[in-house]
Amino acid sequence: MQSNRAKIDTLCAEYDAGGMDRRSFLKKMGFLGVAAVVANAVSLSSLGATLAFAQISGAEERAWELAKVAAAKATKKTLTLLIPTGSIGNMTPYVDKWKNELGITLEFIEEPDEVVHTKGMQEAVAKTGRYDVMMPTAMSYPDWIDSGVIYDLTEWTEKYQPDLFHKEWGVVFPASHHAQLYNGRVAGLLNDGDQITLLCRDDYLKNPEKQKAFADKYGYPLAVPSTWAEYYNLAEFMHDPANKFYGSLEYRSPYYVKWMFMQRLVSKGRLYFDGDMNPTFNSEEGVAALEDMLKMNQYLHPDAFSFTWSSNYNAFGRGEGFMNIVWPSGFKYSKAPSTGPATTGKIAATVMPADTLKDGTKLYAGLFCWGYGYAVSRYSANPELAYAYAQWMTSPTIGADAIPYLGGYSDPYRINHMLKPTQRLIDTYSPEYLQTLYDNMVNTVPDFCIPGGFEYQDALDKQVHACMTGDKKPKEALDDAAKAFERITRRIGKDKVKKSWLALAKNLAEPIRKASGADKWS
Amino acid sequence: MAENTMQATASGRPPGGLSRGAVVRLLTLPGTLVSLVVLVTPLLVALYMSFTDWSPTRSSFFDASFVGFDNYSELTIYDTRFLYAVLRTLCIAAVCLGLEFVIGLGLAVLFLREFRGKSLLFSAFLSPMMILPVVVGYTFWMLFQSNGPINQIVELCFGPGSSPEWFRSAPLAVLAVVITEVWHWTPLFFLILLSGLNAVPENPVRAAVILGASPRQVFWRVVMPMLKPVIVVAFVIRTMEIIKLFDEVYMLTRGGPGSATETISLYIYKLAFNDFQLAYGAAAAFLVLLGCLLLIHLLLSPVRDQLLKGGR
Repeated sequence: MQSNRAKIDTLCAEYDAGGMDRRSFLKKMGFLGVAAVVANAVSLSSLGATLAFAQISGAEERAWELAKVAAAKATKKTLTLLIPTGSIGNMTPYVDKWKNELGITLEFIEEPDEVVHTKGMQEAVAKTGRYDVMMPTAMSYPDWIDSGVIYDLTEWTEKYQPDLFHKEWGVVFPASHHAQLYNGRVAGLLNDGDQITLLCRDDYLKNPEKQKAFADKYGYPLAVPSTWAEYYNLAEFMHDPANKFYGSLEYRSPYYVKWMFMQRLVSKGRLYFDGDMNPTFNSEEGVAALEDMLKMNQYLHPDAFSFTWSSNYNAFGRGEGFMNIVWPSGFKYSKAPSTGPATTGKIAATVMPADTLKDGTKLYAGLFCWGYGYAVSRYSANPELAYAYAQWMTSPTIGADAIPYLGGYSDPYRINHMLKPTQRLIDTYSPEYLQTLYDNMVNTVPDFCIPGGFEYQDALDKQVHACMTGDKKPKEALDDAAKAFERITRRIGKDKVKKSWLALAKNLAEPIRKASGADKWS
Repeated sequence: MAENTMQATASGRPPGGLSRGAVVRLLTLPGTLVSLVVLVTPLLVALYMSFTDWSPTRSSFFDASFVGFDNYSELTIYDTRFLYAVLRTLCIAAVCLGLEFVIGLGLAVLFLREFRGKSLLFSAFLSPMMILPVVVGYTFWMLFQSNGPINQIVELCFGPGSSPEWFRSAPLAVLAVVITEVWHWTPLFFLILLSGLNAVPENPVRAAVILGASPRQVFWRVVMPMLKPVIVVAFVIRTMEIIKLFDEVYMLTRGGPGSATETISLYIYKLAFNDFQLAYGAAAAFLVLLGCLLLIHLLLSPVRDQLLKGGR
């Protein structure tokens, strides 16, 4: 079809230029028209589907072939995976296949998600060879690569082609670069599209009485919020603590609260550093973000200060809140009757709210945080087999199959997962939400995927939390965090961190680059 | 022959063997070597480490760069988180020690008298300090939950909505830590002080009573001065422990909210095992060690002579 279109364009140009007569033009166009009809018929037929699948399944097939070869050579018939607690459900369905067809036993070692990074760093020191595959968040890659605990996967990806950047089924940009690469090299293969999106109770939005009351009070129709100001209004309007129903379930708990701040910050067009590694969040935008959060606290769930992702999902599923800021797995859990008894069929989702910049324009920006992926341990006894597993599990086809399983929290991350989903993906998420995921992901800003990322993150988290508990004023908290950032940068090495940061900033949506000034950094 | 034997015996040398001094040194050599290996060597290695920029995830130990006092200056001049952790730990220690002493002394005085069930209560009051610190921390974490029994009791007494969010507020989080710590270690003060009170000589007390002193005067002017060494020792022992406060805080608050309850140990743990800044963490540990030595020296100064004289 693409080829036909190109030919048609060429033919039209030639005719316009007077290079052929009208009879010849019509004759050739007729031929191309017939060819287009035939091509379209084939693409819509079973044969077409088979051919298309053959292309999209290439990454899976190449990985499987590698796995067969590596398994045959392997003296150790076990692959040991270090994975975060709660993620196993996306992997266990394939244990039998690997055992029966390859003779490889998959052994899973679960650790709390906040511990996985430390375990990897400990492996860098101890070099036990305990793990073959490790599943960290994207923030681990810089430190893990620098410490030598994991392989650089670039050569393997070039050879076996996981199609990471394919225009139809590659990982969605910019997560394709933020959540897999370190300084332009492939450090891991993403298997969890961890962006945050906003969920609302659709049944409340469609309630006629509430629609009228809302319009009367705020002067515009009741709908999902498109800006943070509208988000606040909705929370205020829907907050009903007497009936244990709260405006929003967004987080204020340690470890999670920083992401609420970071999301608001990037919505205001501000990143974490400038091009020279000076902290930029202790600006008026950062202060405003914290003030927004403080003002919002009165409309939050009473457990907001202690929520984890699982308790948060459970609370929303029980119908305790109107809005929730969740990873896509939160939608999955809310939609499923078993985990969302009060919310199944009642969710309206949207991209993260925009904020109005100084020039009056609205900026839509999302946050890609967590984002688990597979890395291959340098001390694995079977590194090729470990890589084969990683590529196979994250391939466009197997990934699409694995994501819908409720027992894990893997989320869509490839283009085909969102724009050309399988029926199971549609059943799990809904076409509308998958489109929302795509629309949001293309505008995401990464977490601290730079050397020392966890230290930066912890320093910010401590101060944001101190502000939320009333221990510090917004400006004081952010200034203290900035000082800590400067110390971390100084200790790690400014040039080293800057190189990594600029590599991230180069791969952002253009509106965000422009708003933050990153388009001028070098 | 007899003369030779007498000469050997007189000089302390066994016939044809080593001198007594040599034998003594030879017998103590294994213990000395073990002490050097187990105690001194690691200390020296850590001390050297604290003057480098070594991180085990970046380079081998011998490739680390010597940075002089950079780590120490960073800690004392720029690292406000460390400085606040030290200050916070000292404040928590002061409050806990004060409460433990007062409560422990009160209990000890009560137990000087005979009453029914004394032995049973004695065991019961001692039991908290026998519980593992992590268990204590976890137990109190459950007790302080928003739906936990403590809040239920508070609401029972003061009405619905009066119960606090213990871990949401910095002062309340610190209070929770203090309550937990005092509950856990007051028995130690109680035990030491009770032993001290039982060891107070009866004659001075009896003489004071005969001379017309009131019970209060006897306690404060006769008993307490005699108890002073015991009190100091109790404070020293607990101070050395509480400066290292980790388990209970880790289980209760993880140092939060923010870093409002982050103690020295918690911060050094983060440096060493989360960030793998072993050299920097070692420097922090040595600063704390020096601080502890100074503190213990000051605490012992009122009774040092008395303790040493008693030993002789």
